Amino acid sequence: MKRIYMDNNATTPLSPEVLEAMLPFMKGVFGNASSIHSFGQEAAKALEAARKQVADLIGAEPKEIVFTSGGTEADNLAIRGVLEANPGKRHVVTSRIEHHAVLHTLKGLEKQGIEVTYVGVDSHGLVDPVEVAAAAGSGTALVTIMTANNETGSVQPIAEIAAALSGKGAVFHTDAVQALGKIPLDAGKLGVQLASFSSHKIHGPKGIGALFVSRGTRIKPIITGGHHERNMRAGTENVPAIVGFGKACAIAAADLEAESARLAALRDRLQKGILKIVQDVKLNGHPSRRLPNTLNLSFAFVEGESLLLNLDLKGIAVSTGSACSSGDLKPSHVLMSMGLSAEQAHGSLRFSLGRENTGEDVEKTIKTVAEVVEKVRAMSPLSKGARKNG
Amino acid sequence: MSSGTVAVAMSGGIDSTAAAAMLLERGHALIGLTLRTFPCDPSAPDESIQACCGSEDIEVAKAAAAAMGFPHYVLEGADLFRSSVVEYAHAEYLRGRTPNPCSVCNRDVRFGFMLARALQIGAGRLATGHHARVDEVSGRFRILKGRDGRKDQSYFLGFLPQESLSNALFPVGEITKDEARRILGRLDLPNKDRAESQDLCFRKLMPSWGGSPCRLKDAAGKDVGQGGPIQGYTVGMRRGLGLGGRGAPLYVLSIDAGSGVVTVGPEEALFRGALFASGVNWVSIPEPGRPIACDVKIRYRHPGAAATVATIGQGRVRVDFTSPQRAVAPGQAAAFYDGDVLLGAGFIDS
Repeated sequence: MKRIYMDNNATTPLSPEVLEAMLPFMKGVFGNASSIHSFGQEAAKALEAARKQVADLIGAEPKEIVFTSGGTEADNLAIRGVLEANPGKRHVVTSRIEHHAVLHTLKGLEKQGIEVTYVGVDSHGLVDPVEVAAAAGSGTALVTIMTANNETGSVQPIAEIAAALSGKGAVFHTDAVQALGKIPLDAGKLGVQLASFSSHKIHGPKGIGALFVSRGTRIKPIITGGHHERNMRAGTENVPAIVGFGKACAIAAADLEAESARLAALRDRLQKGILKIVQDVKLNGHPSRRLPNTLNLSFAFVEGESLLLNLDLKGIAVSTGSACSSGDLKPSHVLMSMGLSAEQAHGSLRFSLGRENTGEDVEKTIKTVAEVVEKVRAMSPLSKGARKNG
Repeated sequence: MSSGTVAVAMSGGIDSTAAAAMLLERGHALIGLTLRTFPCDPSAPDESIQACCGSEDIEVAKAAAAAMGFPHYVLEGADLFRSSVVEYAHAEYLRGRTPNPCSVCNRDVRFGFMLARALQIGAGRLATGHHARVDEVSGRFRILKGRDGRKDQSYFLGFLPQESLSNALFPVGEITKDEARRILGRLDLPNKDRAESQDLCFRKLMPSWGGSPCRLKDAAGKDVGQGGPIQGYTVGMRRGLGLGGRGAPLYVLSIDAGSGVVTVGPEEALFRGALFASGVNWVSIPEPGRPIACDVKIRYRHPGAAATVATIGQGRVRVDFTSPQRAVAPGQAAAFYDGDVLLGAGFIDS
């Protein structure tokens, strides 16, 4: 059975070119980039070349890139590092639909006395820049709003928020993990001081990411013990992974326009195809202000979990709205914040396309989704009966 | 997917893993299912809930399924488990009764939600690791005790309706616990050396108690002291009454949550010749039209006692024991047996 992978917002397959670029650094080139000798210099050279590749993809200066162990650490560094560097300010503004890397970190900080304002979103999952700015005051250390949502793909008005925040004195951070490589990003135009990125969402290796730190931003490291990354992140650099991340960024930069258009066309075909042949399906997320690869649908009268399992058994990998929050007792916090009912949120599926998906994959998926939804809906009286007992 | 596909409810323990291994050897295609019963929420007030039926069990179940080479899925069941099992148990304790969460979980969670999910994803049946057996005799599905008498768990299955039983498999009921353990060892599965699970995980999910102290009185109604909140008492308990030094040891005889009174007395006062049970489910036989002689178990570890069970309408029965039984606790299941055959069960009211 040929399997179809449509869960690229969770992770992506490593690109063969990325693997090629990494291999020398897992074999012969092993130096510590901090060492003075020629071995160290080889590693340092590769490290700085990768830093430039990452910086180029987001319109930043190489020295504004701090490598981390991934997007989650980048979010932690942004939040904890800014609060640490601004001890007089104990307030953070964020949205209700952030990734758990942000929300859980803030929940923990609330227990330590940090005050957090969670702004809501509209039915398309977008925040209102005016509301975000109004929530920030003189005591606000940080505003953190994601660039694009992992579940719905809705793209936030980051530049407008930055403009509305100007003069407020708060550092503006965006979790751009899902946006990287899918839509054009220019740190200067976005107007953010901090932005988080992850390599494995763009066909790079896992375990590596970066925080963009605009020059002059008041922030302190959260991992200490060395002068690495311009004193922002201690620990010997993971050179093979960094080289891979750099290569993945270079490929993404070269392909972005064409690949985004290709994915958007496939995604739209998938969306139209499912909406045409399956009744009672609702699109979640903004119809146009959306990542080109992401499709989130709510199927009435069924549970996404049941659809997901059925699709997996047929070789099609997608996720439920709450894939990243697996284990959460509530339905997707993102969809609920957009005003969906618990039933609608429970009935959601996320399709996130990627480089390997083809038109054939899309047609097969449309057909299979229709079959599975019909089958599960036909059984749903049983499911409802079972739930009534419970 | 053919009807030969079986979903296995996997807890990560010895028995459910052995059940999977046995079905695999019989040639079934398997889908492993594990229910996440606890909320995984870092803002939860009690961190100890993370340890309850915890993620380690899920990981172990997943690893065992992977080692045997079939797909495994974690089902989100925290809401369902709380609303159907934890809240039931909590409410029963507050009424001064002794709940039977495993029976309710088997009926509503395992053979309610999980079975429905199993059927939805193309499995024909749901297997669990219970030490019990199911068979079909002239169109009626029966439950029998497990072959390993010491481990028999049929007591907890007495509330399963026929439609659930028609889709149920209990492969481990054919073997002993030691044999189950040996199967895991032979296959060198990751959980071969796991300790036995205790089935009391719901306790950690219980809301905090609170509640005012109760009055302890003797059978004549004389006040003999102050006790803790009502839910701390179970009929038959002796320890922790704080009534030492009065000669003969005292036991909890009955609990009246309404008035906040726990009646205590000597052990001989614990014996009852009869009980009433409600919510009766007839398993292996249809509801009998006349009183039947059978053995009745009034708690899991009770050996069973000879009795006559008579239906008295509205799903209720009266059970008259041949000789009085000690500590009949309201809320517990009374399970009726003819030899190895589980005839039915009800919840003890008085």
